[in-house]
Amino acid sequence: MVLASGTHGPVLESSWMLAIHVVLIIAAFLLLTKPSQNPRREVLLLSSVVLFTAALRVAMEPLPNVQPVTMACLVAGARLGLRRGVAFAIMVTLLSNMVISDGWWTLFQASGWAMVAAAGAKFLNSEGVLNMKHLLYLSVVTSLLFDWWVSLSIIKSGTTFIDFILYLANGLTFDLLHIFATMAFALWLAPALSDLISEDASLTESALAVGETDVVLG
Amino acid sequence: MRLVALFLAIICFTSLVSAHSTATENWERDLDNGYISTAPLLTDDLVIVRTSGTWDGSGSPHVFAFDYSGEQVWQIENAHSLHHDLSPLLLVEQGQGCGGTWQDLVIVAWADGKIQALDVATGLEQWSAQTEVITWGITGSLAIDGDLVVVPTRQGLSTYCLADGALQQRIELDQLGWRNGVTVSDDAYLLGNEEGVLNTIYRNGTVISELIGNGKIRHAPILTNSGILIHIQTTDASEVFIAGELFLTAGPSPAMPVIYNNQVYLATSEDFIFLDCTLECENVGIIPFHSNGEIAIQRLDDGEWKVWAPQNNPEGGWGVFTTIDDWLILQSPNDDYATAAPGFGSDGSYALGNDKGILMFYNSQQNNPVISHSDEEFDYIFIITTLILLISILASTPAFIFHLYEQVLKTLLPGVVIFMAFNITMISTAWSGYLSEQVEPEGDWNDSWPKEWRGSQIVVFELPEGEVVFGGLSGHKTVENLTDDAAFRVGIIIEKEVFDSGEWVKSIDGHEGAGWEFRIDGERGLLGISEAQVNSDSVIRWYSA
Repeated sequence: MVLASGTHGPVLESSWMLAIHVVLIIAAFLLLTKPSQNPRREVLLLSSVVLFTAALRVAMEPLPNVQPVTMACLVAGARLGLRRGVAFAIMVTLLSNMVISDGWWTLFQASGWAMVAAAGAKFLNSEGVLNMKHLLYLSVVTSLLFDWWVSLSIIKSGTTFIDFILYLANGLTFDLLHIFATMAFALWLAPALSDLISEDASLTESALAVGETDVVLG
Repeated sequence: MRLVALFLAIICFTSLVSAHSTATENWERDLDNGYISTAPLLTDDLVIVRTSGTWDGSGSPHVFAFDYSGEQVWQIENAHSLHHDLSPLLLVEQGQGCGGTWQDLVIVAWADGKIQALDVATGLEQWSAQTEVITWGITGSLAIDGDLVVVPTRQGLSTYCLADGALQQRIELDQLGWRNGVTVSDDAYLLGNEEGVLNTIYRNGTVISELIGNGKIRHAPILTNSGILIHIQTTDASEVFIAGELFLTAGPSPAMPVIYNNQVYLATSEDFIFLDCTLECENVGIIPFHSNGEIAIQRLDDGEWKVWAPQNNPEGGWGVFTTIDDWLILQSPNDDYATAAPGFGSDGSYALGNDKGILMFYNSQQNNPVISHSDEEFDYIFIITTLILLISILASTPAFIFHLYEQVLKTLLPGVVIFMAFNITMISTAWSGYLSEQVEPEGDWNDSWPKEWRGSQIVVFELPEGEVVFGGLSGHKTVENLTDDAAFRVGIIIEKEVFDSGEWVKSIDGHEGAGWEFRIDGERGLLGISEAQVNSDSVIRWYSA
């Protein structure tokens, strides 16, 4: 299974990587499969936002741990709802990792950002203007928790608890950078991104008259 | 009158053109595919230099020839070499003898056992020969014996006709050699090896072997008036023997000694040693200095000379010694670990090379050819990002005064992010260093190691065939530098690969396993090898994940 030890954890055999990709793609597909009055428009909206966010992440890749995806997932969760927010997170991760680097950590990143999107859907999901104060608080918490979650990918049989804590402690400067960057993105880009999605979503959903029923947890 | 004026004008013009053509500038060339571990050779119009491969095994060792203006004239590559091409290039003037005649040659011996005789002017191969490879091939210095080139091979000695490369003599020996140069005496060839044995090989094929000491002989034996001088490398120090008798003990990892005008110059990781062997050898004095490679003599016009020794620590540079009381360290703009002596031209020009793989040529007619202190390099990124940070702080001040905190963050955060993102290595290294100070390391000392290694830098490679340890190192700041140095000294090849977060070790001595990780003083390494800092007494342990 494991070929070598990379920077974010073990490098897997191609069959295991394929399995991870399949699981993530199926998850995204299932989350997106739902009745829609205007499926073309919805697909267009989602794919354009996914492409934009993935491209932004790739463009920011030279800057270590500056992750626009965290902010985008919060906004996507808030504006698209839980299911589509999580699907958005998975697709952005898969797409951008194809360019940046793919491996065992893709699973942790996809699930991590999916949880960020879920947090956005849970705590920011309100009609009208995005609550910037809440968004900033969530940026701090989710950026930090996302980093720690992804750090789990480096754990293997020889890793002790102390090793892991030291690893997290050493990475605090990178965590701080992630937090500040997400806050900056939230302040500068989130309102525009939120408006873009809201406008498009309202056009899409005007005929549905079902509001955000798709985001209510069953 | 007009004719005289014209004549004078032509003379002036000619002399101007002539002056322009000879007054070449100083220059440097980045031979980015390898380290320069042996002295460049300077002919009347060429600078010839070899690279000894790279620590990570990427690229191939080359031999380059540049003219005095810095233009490359030719180059050759040995894609099959084994990346430890430490045998100095040998220049041979044209002549005749066994096999016929030969033009000016440069003889290149490779770590894959190959010997090539190249035409100096063109680099074209005149002949080649192959010697045995036992892990390595040839790593020691060759010598000329009349019309023969004498080659210290990995486990023996061979002589070849200079004209056509025909093998004239082959001697098999019991011991393996490493950087064991050969010395030609009146009646024999002298050759040391890794087992501390000095072999005297007479031209009739008779071999007399003498155990000198418990260590390794990694230089060409020195002929003095007091007898043969051998500087043996022991586990944690070194010993100088003259005529088979222990003369003095010195620091570890000895350099290759030289003799000139009966003055012998030796060096180790701790000392530069002067011996006067005019009659009986006498220890004239010792200066603290770190040199482990070649030592060279610069002959001056007035009959005097200077001794140059590369400083093999991160500060680099070259020690230039005249007497025990008159010496200095010259630094270049590209200083790094250095083991190659300078190459000197007959007109006073000289060329320097070091582990950075940058060849530096200094023309004698230029003033101040080598600066004594390297220029302070400005960190422009740090300066610019700090300015951006300050501007963002200033710009956010009015919003702060009016309690517009969201606006404060909006103005301030981009500056903070830009500053942190571009200086994250510096910030994270400082943070990591602070954490290391807070956490008491459990240590990784092994009582079976030599006591002298206490307080020095040590590297342990946990290879499948057993542990390989090298200690007594100093001056390294990062895991990468320390590992590279230790690996080189024990003959282990490190293969690295680059990830987005820095360099990581892919294989050690050909073993990839499930990946390689390191511990610093017992603590798992958490940063990339180029960022992870080591202390002056750190133990780095490489183990398979």
